[in-house]
Amino acid sequence: MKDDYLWDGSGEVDPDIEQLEKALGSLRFQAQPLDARIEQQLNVRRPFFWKYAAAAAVVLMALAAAWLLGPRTHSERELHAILQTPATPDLPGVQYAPTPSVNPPASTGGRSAVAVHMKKPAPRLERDVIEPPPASDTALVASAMAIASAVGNPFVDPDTARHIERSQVLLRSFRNSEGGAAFDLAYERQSARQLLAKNVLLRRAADARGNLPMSDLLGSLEPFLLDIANLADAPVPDDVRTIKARMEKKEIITALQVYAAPTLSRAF
Amino acid sequence: MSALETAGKVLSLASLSKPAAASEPVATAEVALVEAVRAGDREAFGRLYALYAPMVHGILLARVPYRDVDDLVQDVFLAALKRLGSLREAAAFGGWLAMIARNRAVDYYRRARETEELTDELPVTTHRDAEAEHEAARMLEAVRSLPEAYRETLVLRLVEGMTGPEIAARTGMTAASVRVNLHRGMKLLREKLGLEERP
Repeated sequence: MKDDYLWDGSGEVDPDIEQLEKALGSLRFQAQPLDARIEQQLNVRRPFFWKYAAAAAVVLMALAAAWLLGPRTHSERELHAILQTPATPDLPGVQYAPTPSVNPPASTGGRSAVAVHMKKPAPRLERDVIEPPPASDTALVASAMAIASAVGNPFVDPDTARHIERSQVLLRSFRNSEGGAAFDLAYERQSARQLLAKNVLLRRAADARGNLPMSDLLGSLEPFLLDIANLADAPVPDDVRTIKARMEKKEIITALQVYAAPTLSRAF
Repeated sequence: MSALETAGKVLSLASLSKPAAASEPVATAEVALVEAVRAGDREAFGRLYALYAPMVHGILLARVPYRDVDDLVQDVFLAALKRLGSLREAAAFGGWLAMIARNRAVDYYRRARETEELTDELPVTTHRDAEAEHEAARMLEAVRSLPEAYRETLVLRLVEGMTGPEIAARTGMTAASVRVNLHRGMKLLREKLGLEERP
């Protein structure tokens, strides 16, 4: 069948098609070496394999970093076990100074001093025990979500995220405090004492895990907590202003905000 | 244009857009070659070039002057090499390359209009004798006067010596479309050349 010859060259030969093939076959493609431009393109072309390999290496490194520095939730008791310090009872309004000595208080004259190097629990100050104001339901939900979503930041575990948020609230409250002759900072002092003990624990835990960024941040926060906790019952305005000025200079609130931002943004 | 030509052209142009993978079994060896080129294998590109250059040559020869076809073949492969990363399915390489070749032919005329007038003379530096050269030019001119889909398929069959199944596999057209294009194109070509269709 002649159609077969046109289709695949099989079957009975069609003389017309054969004649056309013979005449037009002289125009057939003649193999030629690749153009220099193509050779050049082949030379500069980076193999896709290496792109994939590089991408895979980056992903593996990110996973390894997240595993090493990522969130590891330790309970208070576990932290104490790591640090080999006696566990402190978790009673609201009661503060215990942690064992390590960080910075001795600059001056304690006439003030209710809190020494972080004390091994024994600090005496309980009944008049300083002030319960925090009740939070709204929305704030509680947002806070819970924020803490739960802290997994996104490999340097912050949920416990530390909660601590950073509380510290940030405290420092903002302290910065915004106003007073003429005297300041009423009872609540801030009380909070600072609670946070100071926790801060030491978290900082040492961060050190133990090799989480240097978090250790640095908590180390920067500690002097401010210490100073606020050691303020006098009726602090003179100059003392408060000095601490505020150092806060501005060190930009500690901004530093805390940087760590808290991913958490808060996820919560809303 | 007759009704048969019009219907055939519509059918053929529609078939051009069909992906090869949907109708024809794709040679896994060719897919592997494309993947190898993507991985930076120079030798694989040379083999792809040898495999597909006749198709690209035929597609271009159906549209542009013979003297410029060889250069344009290289242009098409250079463009393909540069854009290979954008090809989603290696199995569609043939149809994708054919489309690049068709677009390159369109660009050729767009650029040529801005520079010089084109002639369709065959090169005089070949070893063919003048009579054979004249005959080839006449037949090629007749093929080029056919509707686009017919002329492309006929050039691949009559000039490049590809069979119908090969044309389908390389260009991504369905085998049925290639068969129709060959049959109807040959019928029209016989009329153009004054050849009588044999029973």
